[in-house]
Amino acid sequence: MLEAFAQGAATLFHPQVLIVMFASVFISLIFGIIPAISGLTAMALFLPFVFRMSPEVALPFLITLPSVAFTGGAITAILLNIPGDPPNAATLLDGFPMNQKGEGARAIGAAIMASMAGAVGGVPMCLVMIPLLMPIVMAFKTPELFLLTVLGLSVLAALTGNTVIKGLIAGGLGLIAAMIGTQGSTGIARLTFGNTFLYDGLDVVVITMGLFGLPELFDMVIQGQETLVQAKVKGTISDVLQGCKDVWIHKGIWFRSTLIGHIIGIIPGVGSETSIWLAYGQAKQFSKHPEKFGTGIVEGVIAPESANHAKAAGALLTTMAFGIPGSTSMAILLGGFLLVGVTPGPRMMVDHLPLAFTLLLGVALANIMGGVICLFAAPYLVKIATIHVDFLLPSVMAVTYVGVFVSRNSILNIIPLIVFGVLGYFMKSYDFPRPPLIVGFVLGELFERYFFHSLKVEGPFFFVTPIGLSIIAMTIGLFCFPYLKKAFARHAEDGLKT
Amino acid sequence: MRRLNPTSYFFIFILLAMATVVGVSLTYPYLEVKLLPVGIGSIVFILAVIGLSREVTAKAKAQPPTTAKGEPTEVETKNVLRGLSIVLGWMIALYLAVYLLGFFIAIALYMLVYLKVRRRSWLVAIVCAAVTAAAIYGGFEVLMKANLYKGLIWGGALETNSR
Repeated sequence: MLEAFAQGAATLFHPQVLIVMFASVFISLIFGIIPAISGLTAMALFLPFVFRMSPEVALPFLITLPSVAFTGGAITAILLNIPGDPPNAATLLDGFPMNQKGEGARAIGAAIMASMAGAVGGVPMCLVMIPLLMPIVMAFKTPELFLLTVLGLSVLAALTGNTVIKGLIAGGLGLIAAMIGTQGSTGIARLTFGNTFLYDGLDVVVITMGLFGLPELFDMVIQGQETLVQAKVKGTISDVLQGCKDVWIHKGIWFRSTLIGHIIGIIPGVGSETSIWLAYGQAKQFSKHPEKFGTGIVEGVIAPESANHAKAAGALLTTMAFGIPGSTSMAILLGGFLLVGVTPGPRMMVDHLPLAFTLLLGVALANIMGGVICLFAAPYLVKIATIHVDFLLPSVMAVTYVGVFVSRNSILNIIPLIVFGVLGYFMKSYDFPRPPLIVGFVLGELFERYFFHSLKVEGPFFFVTPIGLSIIAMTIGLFCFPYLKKAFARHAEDGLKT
Repeated sequence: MRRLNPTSYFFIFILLAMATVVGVSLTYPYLEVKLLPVGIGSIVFILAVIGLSREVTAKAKAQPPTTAKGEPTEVETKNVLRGLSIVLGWMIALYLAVYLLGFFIAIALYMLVYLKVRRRSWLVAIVCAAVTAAAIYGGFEVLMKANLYKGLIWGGALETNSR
């Protein structure tokens, strides 16, 4: 275990990895700062870049994109009153009033330091958990792996979006999309409708870019986004440093928020929004002056930023150890894993343990890099938020087309991109969650392989094992959870009325 | 007759797509090939039927829909469809340009035309077109060593084998 840790750490500090991560940090900050797009868009758009990279270089590049974008998003929240990314929403409650009071630099300093400290704090918590997880993951055989795939599919389907039905439909569409192409064991072309281009199946890059890159562009044009007001940072560099010190002055808030973020991160499907509001709520609850929250106090910036960044490592651990992506970014990362030939899930913790350590440590390092860049360049970086959609749309579209071409060296690959772009836009408009479709597509092949293997080896009752039944119970519980939550809320409401 | 809302139409699209998937999959010779598409397609079909019926009944109970501005949603839907067709038009135009002229010329031309349509100055349009084409060349051809499509006019093949 220690040897794997040392190997993972050594890989992370390889010059090539460091250079790629540094580039990724920059890209991520830019995408985080521009309000219309996010770290997820960056992940979708840059997926084709990882094709020719080794897993040790490609995966730290990808994991950096969603981890650091929130730091950039916090800056726009503080200076422009617009969350760069949705999980930055709680930061603007106190961040923007601080800027109006002339404490913008202090708020930025606190947000950056809280982000770094939150991300770094979340990693040791994960490292401690790995030895505890190892005996569990070693006990998984093919039937359990199949059921784990079902659980992975169910998590996002059941917990994202407003209705379970729409989530399940999205997951099902992903599975169907994964079945397009030549069937592995028989060599028969399936759902290709005679089109030879589809014999190799659809491309994860195309689906990811189509579902997550293009709908954001469509929205930009349809909603007619205007140029944002030029922002000014109020304060000096000493105020930024004061903000950094504030995190250590309020270390109790940092620790509790980091713990909340870590726990929420490990639980799949709960989401960033929950962790930031829980952290904000606890900071207010434990405060000696709760009435000041929302008026522009530094504690209101530290709590959500610490929690938001602490959850990254936790979510990554669940994705790697069980193949269950707990969030949209992890669903896209899952696609990245397969793209570079690494299958996430219990086998990854056995076959690629050093890589798992590289990625966990990478989350911390990426946030440190992002924080240091922001400390010095925040006033300049925020100007990126004022970029007009006229420049953004054609340049992003050009990169998307080239990226999709490169992923398969075929210009025909652009056609499914447009199809999935339109599908993604309608799914977004009509409140169908998109992450289950990606997860369904990514896990589709494993789902089929594990299913038939289990059936052949263990027979039709392959799922009757202690672990298998536990996973089934968890899956059923997952689908009951939204209904139980509603029932409890109704019960509590009735209780209040009487 | 009651009019359906856009979400209902989306459910109908899913129903039709799944009916096609199930119908086509049933024609495959081996159980291994057809079992999962038929099974999953059928489940998604049933879920879409439930979703559609919920959507229709919920709509029947609800008041006539309006936007936050008080504007009827039908008008909003038309605006969305208009915006979407404009973006799609640009996307298809870029695709055709790439198909004929190859990536570098098409992207530069696309950027130039787009910015001119958006009433940017010639200088801004030319500089942006040149910078984008140069960035694509530098990023993909030089750094990634990708052999980008050269265009039908210049004899480019639709699929290359230089991965």
